[in-house]
Amino acid sequence: MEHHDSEKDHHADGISRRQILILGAIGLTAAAIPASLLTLNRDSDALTQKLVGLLNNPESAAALGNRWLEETKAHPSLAGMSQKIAKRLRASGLTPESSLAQMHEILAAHVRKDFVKNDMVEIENWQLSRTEAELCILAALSLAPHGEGHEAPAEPEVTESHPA
Amino acid sequence: MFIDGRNVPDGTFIETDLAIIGAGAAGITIARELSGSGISVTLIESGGFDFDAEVQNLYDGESVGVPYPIDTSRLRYFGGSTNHWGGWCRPLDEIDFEARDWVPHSGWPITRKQLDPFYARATEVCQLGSNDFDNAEAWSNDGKNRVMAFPGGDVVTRFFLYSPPTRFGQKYRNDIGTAPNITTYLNSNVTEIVPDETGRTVERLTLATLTGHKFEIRPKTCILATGGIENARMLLLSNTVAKAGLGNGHDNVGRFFMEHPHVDGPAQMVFTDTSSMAAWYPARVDYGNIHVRGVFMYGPDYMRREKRVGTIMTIHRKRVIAAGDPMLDDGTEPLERAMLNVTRSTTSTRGADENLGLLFGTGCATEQAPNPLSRVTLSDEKDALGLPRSRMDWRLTFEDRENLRLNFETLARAFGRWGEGRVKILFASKPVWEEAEGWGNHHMGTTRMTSDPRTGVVDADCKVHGMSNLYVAGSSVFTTSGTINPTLTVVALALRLADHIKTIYEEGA
Repeated sequence: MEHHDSEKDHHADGISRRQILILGAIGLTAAAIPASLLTLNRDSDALTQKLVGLLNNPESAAALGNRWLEETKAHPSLAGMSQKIAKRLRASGLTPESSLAQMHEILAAHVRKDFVKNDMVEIENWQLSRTEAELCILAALSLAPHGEGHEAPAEPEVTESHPA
Repeated sequence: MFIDGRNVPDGTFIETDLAIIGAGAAGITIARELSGSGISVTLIESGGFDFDAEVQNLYDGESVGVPYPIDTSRLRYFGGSTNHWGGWCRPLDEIDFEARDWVPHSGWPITRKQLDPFYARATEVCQLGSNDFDNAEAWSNDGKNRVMAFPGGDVVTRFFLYSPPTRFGQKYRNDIGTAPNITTYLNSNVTEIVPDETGRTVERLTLATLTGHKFEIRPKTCILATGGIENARMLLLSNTVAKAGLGNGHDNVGRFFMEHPHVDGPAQMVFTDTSSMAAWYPARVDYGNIHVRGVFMYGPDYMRREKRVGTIMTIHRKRVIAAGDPMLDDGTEPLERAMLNVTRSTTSTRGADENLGLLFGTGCATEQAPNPLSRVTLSDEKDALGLPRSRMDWRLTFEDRENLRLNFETLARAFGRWGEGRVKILFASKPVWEEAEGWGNHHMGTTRMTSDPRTGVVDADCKVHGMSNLYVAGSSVFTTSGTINPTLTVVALALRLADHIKTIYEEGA
């Protein structure tokens, strides 16, 4: 059996039920954030810009994010995803006043913490931290052609089922 | 002295203190240890000094479980399967000998510590040049080669030392041939180990050659050392007196067959820190006559905490990944480059660099948990001597497969915590393991060592339970397989058995 050559087979089999749940939670919970938590669009855009600015090559990260979007058929909103990541990083010390260097430190610590907690997301068999995966999705949404990804389509409201 | 069994007259019987059936790593080691001891030793080998297809065909058999190459995974001539082994050596770990409550049927009646002195001697027999396996400092090349220190200790670096590899039949042929107390019968096949009427004491061995000669050997003590499949077969077909076969009063002979399932390319890894990849990870490195290879294994605390069995991973360099590499044919970004860019944005401490990192492939071998349904029995087919061939029913379970998959997820966690790499797992989670991607030609467990006769075949001295003078040598006595290539342990156990035999004869004298 040429196991390593059948990439498509691996793709089909390579995501465990647990991980599908994790993937689903990321996408669906983005839509579950109450509107009151969302800031004004202008602030949201600024937040997105800051978060995407943490990536040294957003186009490259977007490649992973796009694969995730294709795999899951999810439609998270750009603003929702920004808020989700920010909320997560705030728990690790992020403030509006955090400098870029501080943001990088907070992000690194949080990503490591994801791995410690086994909070991983699988994209095309690559094992990413949950926060990393969300940043990749954010990059994909922010680089999508105008009108795609910036508005969240109607989605059922669900309770977040995975620890944030 | 070497005697060709085809020249022994029909009806001859030969008396000896000790008969050793099989001249492979175990048989040759025991014979050498007893050289000049005053014990008359008769070493019996099915083949000659070279490969012979007709002799090799005696190893053919049926495979009815997970497909297994029962004929080509071993060699039947002087030196046995050391004529094709790869030379990878390392002792089993302490935890491998322990009774682990999450591994049914685990627990050897001996410890690693008890075996340590014999491992030390075995490294000399196997020409390793050192007995210091995990001395990373000695292999550091003035600090250039460093162990990858993953936080948490779940994934650790361990070292294999390579045998040249020692071809026991060539290397030790002269020792065996010139020993005054050792007579070796070549081209001679034991067709049955015949006990007395009580079934508890071996009385004689019946032998036959492919040319039709028949003769007997009458030993005071007998050691069966024909390999992990053939040892079980020999006991099962020795059924004139004990109808279920010798040592098989509790139906354990042939059960618990274990291999080390190998998977080629189960994962890939990217590293941002190219300097972290010491030379001995992706290739063998030679330090004089010592040959070293670093591998990833799993720490004992991790295995206890997560209730896992072990896996060994080797690493193979694939290529450098640069920022300027072309896009894929469909215009999209290669994901290994994307992964490196993301890693460099999150946890990596590396600065900007045109070369983003390296892509590595892996290979792995994993422990198979003991399973009584994985077994060797006798086939209805007969070989050229009229003896039933082996029927191999190798079974791999969902748990074996899931364990390996979970170990790879642990590897991914370790890389993430470390911060300079990420892992792509290609080994799929599936409900069944109907087909092994590979194997190690490691045949273990079919005459397992236990203190309780109800759960195994041999005792801590390798003596067959319920028999007074029959011993088994080789990897068939392994109670559990660990993840390590078995030859060094086979030789260590053989040295221990040789000491035991010497003691018996000294006490008897």
